[in-house]
Amino acid sequence: MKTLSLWNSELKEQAEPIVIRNRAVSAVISIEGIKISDPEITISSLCLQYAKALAEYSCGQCIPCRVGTRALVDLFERINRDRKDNSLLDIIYNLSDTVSTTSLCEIGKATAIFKRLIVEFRDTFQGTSVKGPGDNEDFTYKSFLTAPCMEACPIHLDIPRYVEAIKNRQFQEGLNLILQRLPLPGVLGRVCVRPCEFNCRRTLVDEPIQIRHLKRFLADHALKDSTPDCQSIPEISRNYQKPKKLPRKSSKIAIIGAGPAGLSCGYFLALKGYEVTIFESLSEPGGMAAVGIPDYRLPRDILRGEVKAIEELGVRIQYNRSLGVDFTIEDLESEGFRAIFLGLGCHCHKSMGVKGEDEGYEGFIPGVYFLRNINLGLFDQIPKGKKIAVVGGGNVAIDCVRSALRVGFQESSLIYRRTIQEMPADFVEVRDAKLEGVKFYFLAAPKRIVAENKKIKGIECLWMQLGEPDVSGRKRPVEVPGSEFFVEADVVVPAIGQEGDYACLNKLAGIEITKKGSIIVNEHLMSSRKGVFSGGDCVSGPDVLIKACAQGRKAALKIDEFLKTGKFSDTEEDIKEDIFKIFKPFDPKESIPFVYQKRRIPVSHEPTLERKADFREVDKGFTEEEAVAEAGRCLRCYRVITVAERKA
Amino acid sequence: MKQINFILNEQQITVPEGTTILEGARSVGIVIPTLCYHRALGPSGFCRLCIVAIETSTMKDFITTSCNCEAKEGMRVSTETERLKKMRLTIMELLSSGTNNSSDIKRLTLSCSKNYNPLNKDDCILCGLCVKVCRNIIKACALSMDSIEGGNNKVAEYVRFNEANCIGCGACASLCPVGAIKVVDKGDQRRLYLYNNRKKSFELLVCSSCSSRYTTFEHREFVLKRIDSEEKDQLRTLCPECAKRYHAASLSVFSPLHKELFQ
Repeated sequence: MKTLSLWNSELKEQAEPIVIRNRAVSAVISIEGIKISDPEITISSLCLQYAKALAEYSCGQCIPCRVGTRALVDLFERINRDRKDNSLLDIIYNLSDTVSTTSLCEIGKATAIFKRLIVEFRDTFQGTSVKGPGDNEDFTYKSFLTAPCMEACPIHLDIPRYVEAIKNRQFQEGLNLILQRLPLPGVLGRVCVRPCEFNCRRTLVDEPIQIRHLKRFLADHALKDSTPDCQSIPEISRNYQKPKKLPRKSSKIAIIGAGPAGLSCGYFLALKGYEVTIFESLSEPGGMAAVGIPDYRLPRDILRGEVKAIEELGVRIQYNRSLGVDFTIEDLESEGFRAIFLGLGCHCHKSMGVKGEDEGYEGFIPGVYFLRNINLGLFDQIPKGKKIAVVGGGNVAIDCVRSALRVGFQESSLIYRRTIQEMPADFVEVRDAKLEGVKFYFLAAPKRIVAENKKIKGIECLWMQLGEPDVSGRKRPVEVPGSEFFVEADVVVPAIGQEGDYACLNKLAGIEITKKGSIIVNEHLMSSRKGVFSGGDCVSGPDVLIKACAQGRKAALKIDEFLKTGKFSDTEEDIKEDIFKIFKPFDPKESIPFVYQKRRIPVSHEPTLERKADFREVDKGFTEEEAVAEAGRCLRCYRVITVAERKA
Repeated sequence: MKQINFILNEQQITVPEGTTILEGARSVGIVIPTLCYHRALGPSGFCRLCIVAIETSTMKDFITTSCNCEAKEGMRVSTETERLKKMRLTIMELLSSGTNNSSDIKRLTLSCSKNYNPLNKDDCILCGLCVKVCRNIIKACALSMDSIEGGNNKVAEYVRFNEANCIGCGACASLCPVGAIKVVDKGDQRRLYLYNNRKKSFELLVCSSCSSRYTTFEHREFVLKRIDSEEKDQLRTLCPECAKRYHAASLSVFSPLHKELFQ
């Protein structure tokens, strides 16, 4: 046997070694093909391990996969026992043909690889060196299960499984599956930017599954179960599957910031039995989820209910306590906190760099503060006026223009320097904003803020045109000289991005920060100060909620390991993440032969004219029947990959 | 309703839009074998025996299950190609290797070896009809396949029974194609057997009008929960037949004309 690679029907020699997380592996097998870099491994033993993995992961609903994968395991075992016996190959070929063609989902369909391998390598299938049954023991095999949506999700929720649970009306089981990795299903079910849906394989047939709405449905359903009057009592805690008896450990851990990262970190540490205290500078839990996202997208009750559930696990939250003002890191360390997690977020705005920004004009307020004042109910601190102009193209900018309509502005316009295609904001949000009557100025950049007697009159802009693509891959806007125009506005809101709070970060002794104002951490999320971990926006810069949750969870696992052993090691999850970075489970160019199309079930919205007037929730979510029907569209694109490694 | 024309085994067929290939075939008397399909429950696609080969303008010899595939204008479907026959046979072989239908052999094996543990489950072919009717139509959720439990995916080896949820309606037993679930009414008792084990016993209610035994207390309460009616209390003690009569009578009270007509 020589080294080879058969990947996506391209056969060549595997010249370079396959390296996963700084370790060379001997062979890889998945539905796409096979790669062998160690000449001593045989294809048949790889196939046996792969068949074993498929049989283990099979859900057992359809007959070909349930029984067929086990039969294949049996056949491969026989073939491995007697290496000279070639007669079984035809049986295997026929069986894998049937199983791969007729199986319900992708686990059974993965047996197609056996068929292809037998065609390609019939003569060398069992290896040229006939050593007998013992030679497989030189290798260890590991199998990993993922799906395109699962891999795209930063926190790797097992999406096909909870979608399947909805299909089977096992709503409680579905929610429990989510809660194993994510403590805020109701929040993320409403505001997640849903990378999963953009990686949904169903897109290649018709439209993606609405995974976010399904998640929200599970969270809301549990809420309905627990209280008949779900609007008034925000409590889903009763439905959380609490561990019967929490393991008690004496270690105290401090978390700074009750945002998504801090809450997730606290949740997982509490589940592991640590005594967790969260220090929050505001009077509200949720961080950016509370003060950065308007209520019409995320009702406060939902957030508070989920935070309450986390508190019931034993996490204590102290409000109105700011790092650097009320206490320092040294204080915490001397109080006996053995590890500290910094989830400070990114609450400071970036400046636009245009004239008139720093003059202190009346009517000028950065987007994050605008939203924060609305969300905290500080309406007297919002500049008054009739017309508002927001600069920016992200979700914060859209939140600002839509919130502005709801607090009484009559005309709300958005100025963005590229076109609608390049907008980083969610296209659903942009569509909703358009429906609500927001005026869009695309390909326009602010040049000067115009004021009279220190009161803003409007903003002078320049038209732009798109030039060459820049580092981010988007086309760079170029000014059209002499094309100035004027947008009338009483209030100007820049919302072009956020950055960390330098004033606070600079005071943290022993913690290195970057020039951009974010905390530097190593790959295990520990900062340059021992025992101080960090995650979320204050590490990655302004980013999406689910990534903050993922980092909070990862930090919790790392803190646990650090306190137990004093060092870090590669976990199975780290390895899995690396494998699927190399062998991507989603190929947007794949063509799926499929005859029956079923469009997505539309979610009902509040009527546009009515919802504009107040902060009621815009999306209404699925009913039970709609959710079950939508879940029925899932193709269950599970991918199994088996990796062989030589024993040390 | 819009009609669709397609070709099934060289025969031109016209069906309403939205009809599945399987239903279309049945309407003209062409038999496609299935185990897990029931008209009342819709397709589930578990048994994979109803596979057909489809030819359209874009694809050729595409094999899929006919129970959940809608017929489209102009497609050619064959139900009996050589490849299909071979695959169906393989699936049947797989099925029979996992399920031993003969209970005599079971008993014989048991007498020979004490270690043999058939769990009395072998009649079940795991078609999932019982689970589906309980979950989707009755909505009692007393039966489930074993696939979601614990941390990992698990193969469904048998049908699980959740005693607390069962209302004893007997829908599962009436659908089971092999008799792995049985409901027996004996005297004032209703007994539910799953894999020949008695799983739950219910007391049967007596109709206050005709004194026949009609259903279980749990079933009645479950049904009444869905009814939004002032007459709930009267319905409570009547069997379905007497309830119908009661209703007819109460309607005629409000309409003297009807009363005259019917008398």
